[in-house]
Amino acid sequence: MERYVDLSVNGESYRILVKETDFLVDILRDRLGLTGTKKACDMGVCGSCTVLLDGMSISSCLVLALDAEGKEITTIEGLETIEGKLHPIQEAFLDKGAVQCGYCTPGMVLTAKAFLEKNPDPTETQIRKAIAGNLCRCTGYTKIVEAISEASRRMRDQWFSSRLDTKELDSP
Amino acid sequence: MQSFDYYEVKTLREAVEILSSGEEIRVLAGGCGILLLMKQKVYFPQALVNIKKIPGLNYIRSENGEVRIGTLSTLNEVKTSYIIQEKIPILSEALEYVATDRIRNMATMGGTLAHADPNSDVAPALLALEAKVKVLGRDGEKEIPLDSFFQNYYETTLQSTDVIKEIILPAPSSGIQGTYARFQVRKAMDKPMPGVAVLVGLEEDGKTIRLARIALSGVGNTPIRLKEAEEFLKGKEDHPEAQEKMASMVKEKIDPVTEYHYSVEYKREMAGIFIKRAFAEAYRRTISLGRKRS
Repeated sequence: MERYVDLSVNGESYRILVKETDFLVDILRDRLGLTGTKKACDMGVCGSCTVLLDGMSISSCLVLALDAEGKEITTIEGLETIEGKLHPIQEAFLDKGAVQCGYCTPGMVLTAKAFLEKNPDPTETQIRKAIAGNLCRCTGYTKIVEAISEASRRMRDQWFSSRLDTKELDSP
Repeated sequence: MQSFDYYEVKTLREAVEILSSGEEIRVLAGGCGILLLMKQKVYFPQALVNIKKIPGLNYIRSENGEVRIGTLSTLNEVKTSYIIQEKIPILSEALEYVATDRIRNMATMGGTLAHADPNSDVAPALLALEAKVKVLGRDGEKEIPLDSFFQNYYETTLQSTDVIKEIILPAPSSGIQGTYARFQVRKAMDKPMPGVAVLVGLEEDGKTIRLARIALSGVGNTPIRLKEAEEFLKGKEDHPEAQEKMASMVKEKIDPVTEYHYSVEYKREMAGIFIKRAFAEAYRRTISLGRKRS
């Protein structure tokens, strides 16, 4: 069976002919060329294929392409702004050296994004729990946890500075 | 993956019709069970019926002393639901352990029960809560007590033409407290061995057990409720001897098999230990609730 589906990925709409056996991860990688989403265990365990569906993290290796229709899909490529500015989580990963081979990174970053949106000021334990479903085979977890913690600080700062009059803060 | 026919339906009735039209047609909801089995080349259905686009099956409602959970509610929706946390916290507690956040965002309550994983975290909690499964089949709706729902590894009493509509939970009367405890080798993403749910209610005197509900998973072919141990505890107080006796009853009752991490003896032993721990915690919580009240 083949059918056209309308997928909304990173704000762009795509009409793609898919088979019933196609999974979202393969469509993203092989048809849309969005190879930032990785595929490793292919059974919903490792987290390297993590993407956001309507803002929630899911395993794209367990979602049929036919079933992704009508949902807003965010991949790692969608985090960068048009001007090429990285997301604060991505910047924190770079600054903290939280990337080794890089294969788990897109999944880690997206998991962190979904997590920090719900928990803007997490403890280390909460961060560790949040990324428990994302495996890093370089075992570079310490730096990843630090990066997510740093990202949460930066995102909170951004949030406050976007809402506060900085002059007021500066005045004695 | 082997090809299959794919249907999308707008009502459960339509789903039942399609399920009745042939052999090996299965329901697709969250997909975390069935798609995985297909990917692993364990199971090859002729067709899948996607029920996820049916509107109005995603709800958590509290009415007439019951909590009703729509079949399409995801595990995370249930886990974080205010109604569940308020009225049935043991369910939130158990859901906390299920797989990963991603899977909990995808997997549905109906799908979890239909999948009938013997190593379920959800099932012991639901068994202890005396949940019923409301099912739509060819002959209309029926309610199946969860107690008689699980049959064997990944097998339930559901007919091939049945589809789960909702899960009905009698909210435990106030004064009843419980806990879910589990053992696992890995710190995360591991199955429970065992997973134990215990609910305890006390008499007016604040120490004699009026009601106990005990269920466990991970140590047999299905999650089970342990009514003998429940009966035994009735009228008793929390006492090391009573705990020991309860644990030995449980150990006798279960029928585990040896697998990778665990031998039969080890599974029995751990079931006994975790039943005791869960019971002690549930009892403690019930007492401290009573103290807060008085």
